[in-house]
Amino acid sequence: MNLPLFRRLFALEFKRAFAYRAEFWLGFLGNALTQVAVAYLLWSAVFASTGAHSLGGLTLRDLALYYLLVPLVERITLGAEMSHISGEIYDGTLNRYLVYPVSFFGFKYVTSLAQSLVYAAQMAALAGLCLWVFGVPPAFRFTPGGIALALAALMLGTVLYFSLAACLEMIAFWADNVWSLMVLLKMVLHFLGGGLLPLVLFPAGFRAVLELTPFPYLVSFPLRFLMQDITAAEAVRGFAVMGGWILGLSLLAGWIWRRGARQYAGVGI
Amino acid sequence: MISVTNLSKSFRVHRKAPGFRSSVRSLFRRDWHEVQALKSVSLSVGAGEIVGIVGANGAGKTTLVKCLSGILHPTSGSATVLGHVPWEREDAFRSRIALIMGQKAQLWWDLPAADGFLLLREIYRIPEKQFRASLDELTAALQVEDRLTTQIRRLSLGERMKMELIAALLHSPRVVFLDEPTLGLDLTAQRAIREFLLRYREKHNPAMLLTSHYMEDIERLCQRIVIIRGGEIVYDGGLREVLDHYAPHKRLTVRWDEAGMDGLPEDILPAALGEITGTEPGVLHAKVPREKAAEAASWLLRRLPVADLNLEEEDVGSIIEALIRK
Repeated sequence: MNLPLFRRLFALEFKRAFAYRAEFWLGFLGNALTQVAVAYLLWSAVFASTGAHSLGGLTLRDLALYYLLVPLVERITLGAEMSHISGEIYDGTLNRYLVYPVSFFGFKYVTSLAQSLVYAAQMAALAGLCLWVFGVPPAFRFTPGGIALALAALMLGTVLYFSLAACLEMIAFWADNVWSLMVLLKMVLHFLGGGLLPLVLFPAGFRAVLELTPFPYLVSFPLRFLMQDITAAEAVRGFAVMGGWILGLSLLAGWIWRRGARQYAGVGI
Repeated sequence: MISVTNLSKSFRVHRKAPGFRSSVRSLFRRDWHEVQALKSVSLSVGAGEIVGIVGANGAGKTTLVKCLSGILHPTSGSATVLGHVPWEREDAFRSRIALIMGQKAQLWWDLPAADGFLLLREIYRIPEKQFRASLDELTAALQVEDRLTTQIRRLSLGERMKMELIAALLHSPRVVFLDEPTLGLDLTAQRAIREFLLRYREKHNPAMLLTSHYMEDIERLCQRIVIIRGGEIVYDGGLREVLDHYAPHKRLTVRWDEAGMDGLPEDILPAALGEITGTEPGVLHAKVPREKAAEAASWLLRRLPVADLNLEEEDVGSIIEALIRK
């Protein structure tokens, strides 16, 4: 993947995102605001009925910011578009990437990253506005080091999710449609990654097992750097587990690609 | 530039009977069967040649093109294009070929052509000066300069196909695969694309492999044709030579003055000189052996008060059609 191509793809995806203005604003308002509003109302009710001041060390204000940041993280790591690889295999548009002297995965990764960043920019603006209006809640601390590590975790998270999704989406070489599988993956990720409930609310034993899977690294891991909820040893171990998964899944994706491409029929609409 | 030896390709497809019950059954058990799309195909194509691949639907034309452009892995056999094995898809190979498919858009659907071309400039790493020159030349030749900033999906079919051609030729490929490039286009657009391809060939001398259902494409563009039937090559040679092989006769039409004659004499054309295929008042149609054509014509000129005599080749298109369907 050469640098000018990388830049051109980025610019094109930005252009595309802004070309569909209705989708741009609906995606922004619909997704993020509903998610935050539902979580806020639900947790206010929980706090009111139990009379507790905090849960797992998180106050209502902490939780509100957490649920505001979760869609931002998921937008970046999980990408904006689903089934983009399996779709190309299914309808035969994969043909062009086989004929053009370009890496299919490189192309797809950059495209999805660019799309994510457009949406992430909107979400970041919203989060910034909320922080300015409501102030930083007690569990959060924004230090330059924490932000840098959170960004590093986010970037690695995009690669991790991309390799995981690529492996599953390439099942489309054998099965015609894997859309439902991808929906299932997103739901599992949202739950086991800490998007639905902060992972501190899970039993400690279960958390320890979860930390060996890729799931928490795609949602809650980057946020822990902003909540100062992570020791140096945990951070190192977290990055190592991520690296291991990325390596393993990329090798697996390469293997599936070679087998799939051998029997790809290039048919479609 | 293209060399193919004993190339075979088979697909495994599952058969499903219509109806709900068989849909449910196919969830648990599938009936697979093998379809042999190409059977031991061999051919070679040199620079500057436009070879027409002709065959009925499902004969294996597109499969051959997809194998040679690197999209499909063959089941057996070998091929090299520009010295590379196509399905290994090395960048050095892919940056020197182009594939144009009439039934499938390759350009990005929701981008204007101009943006797609800029993306291709980076993909093929075409130097800026060369890119500008190619783009100007191609857009002028196809007369689409004013449509470059329109989204591809908003263009007419003809305009879209022209953009696809430009996209495929921007990097001046040495081998060009054209799969049904005029499919669904009106006559004017078909003609424009044919003329463009001929001019392009003259200037850049690439090897071209063309599949088409329109006989006119084949007749106007190709000196050589390959006829595929059921995955096998049944003819590979000059377009004109098809006539010698498969059309041993010429069509002879004679118009004559009926005045003072009482119908046609019984022995107006001896069997050795040809066969009468039809008569109308004052007109006679006959099929005459190629080598006896002149003799048959002069025989009739002597026997009848001929007003007009016409000797024609059989129509190449219909001969090929017949060969395809045999």
